[in-house]
Amino acid sequence: MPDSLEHLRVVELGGGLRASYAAKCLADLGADVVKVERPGGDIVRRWPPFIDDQPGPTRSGLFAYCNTNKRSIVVDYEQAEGQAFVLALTAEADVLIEGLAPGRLGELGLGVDVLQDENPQLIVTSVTPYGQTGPKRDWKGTDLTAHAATGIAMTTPLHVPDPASMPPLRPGGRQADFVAGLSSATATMFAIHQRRRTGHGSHVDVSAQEALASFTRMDIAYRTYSPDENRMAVSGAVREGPDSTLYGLVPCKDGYFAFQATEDYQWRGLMRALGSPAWAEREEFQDPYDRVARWAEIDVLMQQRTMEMTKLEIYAAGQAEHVPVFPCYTTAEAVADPQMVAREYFVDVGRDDTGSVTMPGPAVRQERTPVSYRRPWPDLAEHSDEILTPILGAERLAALRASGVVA
Amino acid sequence: MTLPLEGLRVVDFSWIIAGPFTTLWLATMGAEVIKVESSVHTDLTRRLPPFVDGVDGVERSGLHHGLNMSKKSCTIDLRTERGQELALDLVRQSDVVVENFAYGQMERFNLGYDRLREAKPDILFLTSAGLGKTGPHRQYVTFGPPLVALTGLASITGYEGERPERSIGGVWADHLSGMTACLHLLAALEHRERTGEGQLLEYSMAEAVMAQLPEAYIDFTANGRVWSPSGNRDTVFAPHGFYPCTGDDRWVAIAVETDAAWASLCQLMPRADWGDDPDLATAQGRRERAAELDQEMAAWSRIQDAEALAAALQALGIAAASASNSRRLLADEQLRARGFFVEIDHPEVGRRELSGLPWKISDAEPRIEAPPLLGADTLWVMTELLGMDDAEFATLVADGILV
Repeated sequence: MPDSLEHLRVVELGGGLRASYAAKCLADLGADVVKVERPGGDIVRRWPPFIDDQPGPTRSGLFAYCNTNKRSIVVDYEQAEGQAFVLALTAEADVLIEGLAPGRLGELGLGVDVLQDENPQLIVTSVTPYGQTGPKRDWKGTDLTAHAATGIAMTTPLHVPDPASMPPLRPGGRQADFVAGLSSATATMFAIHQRRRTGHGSHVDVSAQEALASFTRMDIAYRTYSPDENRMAVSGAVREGPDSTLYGLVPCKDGYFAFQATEDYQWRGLMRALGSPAWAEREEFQDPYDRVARWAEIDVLMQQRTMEMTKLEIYAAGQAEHVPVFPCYTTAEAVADPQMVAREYFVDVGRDDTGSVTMPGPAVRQERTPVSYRRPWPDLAEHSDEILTPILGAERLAALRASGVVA
Repeated sequence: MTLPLEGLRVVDFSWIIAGPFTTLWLATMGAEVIKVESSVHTDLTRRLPPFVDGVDGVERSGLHHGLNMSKKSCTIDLRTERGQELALDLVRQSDVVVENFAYGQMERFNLGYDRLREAKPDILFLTSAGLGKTGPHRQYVTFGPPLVALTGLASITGYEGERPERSIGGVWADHLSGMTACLHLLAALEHRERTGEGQLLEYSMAEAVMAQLPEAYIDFTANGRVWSPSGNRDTVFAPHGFYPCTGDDRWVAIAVETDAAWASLCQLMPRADWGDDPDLATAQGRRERAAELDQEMAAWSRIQDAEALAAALQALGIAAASASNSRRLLADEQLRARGFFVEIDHPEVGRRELSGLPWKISDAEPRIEAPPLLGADTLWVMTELLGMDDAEFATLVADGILV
């Protein structure tokens, strides 16, 4: 089957997780992505987990996931000859995705104006912690600081009994980096459509802070629509306080399950799923607001029953009553989930030197142009010969290699 | 000014958060997005807080407004055969259909993919049920907040050694899957521009969340390791965490990315003994003594202002940021300088600020218009787009078809 973006050529520069993931999103959709690494390689090659716990340039699981379907060349773009080569590459490309510090591209003689003078069709997508402009554009940023700078960490968890001893939390993994990458890929696609109309490329400026902040629109609306309302905890403005919505994570026989019962019918369904306990009929638990206020009591009563049931029993019983109930899965349990197995969500991709790795698959199923896995993640400079020889010729390539400009 | 999706028409049956978050970007980037709504079973967010001044009403929800700017609204009773025909007529004049009803609902409206494609062979149809449209759990009821438990994300989020965390900020699964779907829709649209072919796009909210968890999943599939909550510790950087500051619930996030940053931190604190300690010269060494370092850094940060400390750390090239919240976010100098927030002027709620776009495209100024009143564009859709005469329109309104 064809790929959606099989006609697009993308150059990725600067590495790091945000730019890598942005380019991965396009590579999985069919774009031909050339990853330009500096000598030593993308830093993510050195990030765990490593396949079989053995470090090595091709053995980072995170690198593997974010670089499947790409080709790798090594160019030292700190050197003038390397910069000329990057310019030659982008002259033939549709998109440059770069994660260098703001202004760095210009310092290298590869500013957006220079690149687009050479190739007016080129779209340049820059992804950085705070964007290309503004007083904090030069600030350093990581996944953690993005969660801090957007309030996501302050609403994970939303409520805590003792804020002084319970710091804000970042969600597990590197969610902010991924969201910045995903938003960059999406914005790049908008720029592709824009180019179809205008005939020329644009500069796409993605700030990791803004990408993540766009998820907090409800919290912002609380402040601009109803600032006086005594439910500030809902907006993340104040963490201290009791839970204010009826959804939660409750212990059961073999772990935890999650439910949402904000609507009355959901609550009644959940009670039926738990065997219609007598306490559920009590007067003080009939009003939804009362249930929220009395959650501490309900939690104890509910556990008397849920501690006798497994998470899968509660999952099945709750869903049979049309209540949004889910087991709290570990990664091991999620991989074995019947729905994930039936949909063949996890995919196997592998290299000869690492063996096959099972990893998350496509997030969206496209009927005619599905995500495809055409090649595994590349070793450092694995494709230098095939990409550089036609452009430079074998002799010049050898000379540049000898001087350390390319590898 | 030209916009990326100018001239594209989207019939938007979607509701709540994930679907409208996808079509929000299509609308602000120039597509004509027509929300097909029911005034009986309205988009749920029309009935969810925050409401202006705390008074509820279908035109008063800030949650709804933040997700539905720049769209049009057309009310049709899709339970009626005539209503279904009108929806199909609208699809015939459109390029994209988006929906995220429960499994089987579009088929019950006689608006399944097969019928839509028959009416408009090159239609792009983006559809989602919580866990996907195939598989044994395709009919399961899904809401984003509890769904996070299924994805494994909850199991790796929480305080170290404690239970999994029930709440991830930012209504996580909804927004993340909505953005993911937007990317794929734009790619499929590119294919359609080139070949004329439409197609079916289908997604599971759970899978979209899991796509951003490769480290935890690959550590399990490749190494058999099952992650559990580890607080704010990192697998690469150390020290790494939130440290308390002066004031009520104020914190600074510090992520020491390099050994050079570590040396700078030791100078700032100042802790020459740490700087001289060879065990702490590497991230691995610092991770092994994280509890000790965190405790002493907390004692140091506790008497400092969060903003000032973040700036001092940044001046030395150390990644740091004060912990923001919704109140401080609205005053954030960086977001303000870049014009992140947008203002709408809405007939019922007046001028209000809402969150804006996650990107800037140099030659595409986003289109920001107030979200539509329920059914505001029904007359226009029926008479201008579908060519209905005024008499028939009046009859269909009277018959309750266009409500």
